[in-house]
Amino acid sequence: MSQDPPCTGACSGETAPDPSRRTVVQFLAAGAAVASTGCSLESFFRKSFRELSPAQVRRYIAELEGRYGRKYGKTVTVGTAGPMEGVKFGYGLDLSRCVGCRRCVYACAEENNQSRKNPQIHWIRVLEMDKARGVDVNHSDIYYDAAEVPRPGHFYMPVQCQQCDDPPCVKTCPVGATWKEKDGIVAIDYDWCIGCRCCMAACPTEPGTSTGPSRTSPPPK
Amino acid sequence: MHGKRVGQWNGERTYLLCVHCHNPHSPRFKPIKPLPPPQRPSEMKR
Ligand code: SF4
Ligand code: SF4
Ligand code: SF4
Repeated sequence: MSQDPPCTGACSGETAPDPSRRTVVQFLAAGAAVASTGCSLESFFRKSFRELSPAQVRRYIAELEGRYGRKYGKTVTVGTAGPMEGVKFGYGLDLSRCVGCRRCVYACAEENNQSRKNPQIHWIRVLEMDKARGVDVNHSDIYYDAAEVPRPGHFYMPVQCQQCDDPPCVKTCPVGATWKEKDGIVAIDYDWCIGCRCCMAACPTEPGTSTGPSRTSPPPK
Repeated sequence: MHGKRVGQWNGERTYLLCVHCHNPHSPRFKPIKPLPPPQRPSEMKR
């Protein structure tokens, strides 16, 4: 694939601008784009999170805390704790206990501060299945609307990110915005993500679908 | 498996026995109203 630099709008003349001037023009065009989106020059040119030095991480975190604090009128703390030595996280679910009440779905949205509407982001979906069919995802329903659960003849399976050992979402990401930590957690650098949704297509359990829309949709009005 | 653990996985935690939450004479979970279904993509506005 060719790696031509993006057009800056400065190339409409008959003669091509000399390379040094072109670089300056590109820089200014990028600066104008930054100004129009309201993000700082440093955050626009920021490296991916894993390449930042400790000092850059501290500056970046302070910037985020300031930004969120101003937005929500609260003191906000952003943590950067890494994986712990000798710890590996796993994911467990006892299907025989789940009654399909969706309390976990809404608790997750609150805990992780996901968008509540337009778009509504749910990182957990609860599948309702027929006992007669057994585990048959193709015939499951996530939109069941019952007065009471569990409904007779049905069982329920909450599905969320499985923190895969060999995650397809990480393998497919063209820019390396996702990675697996040593403690088993699959992480994403939202500011490095370009919103291409390849991870959504690659994820076998669908919760990956939540990462694309939350990134690419405009903030609620 | 019986009972429930609450608190921190690597800190202070509390073990609850079945009868902390269940009536021992009728231990089954009672039916409960589920929270609303998720919005369908067609219902979401940009
Ligand atoms: S849907 Fe299932 S896993 Fe989720 S809170 Fe209800 S019973 Fe628990
Ligand atoms: S988003 Fe999907 S592919 Fe990635 S770790 Fe989670 S379940 Fe696996
Ligand atoms: S949507 Fe973001 S995280 Fe997912 S594959 Fe594309 S760049 Fe990577």
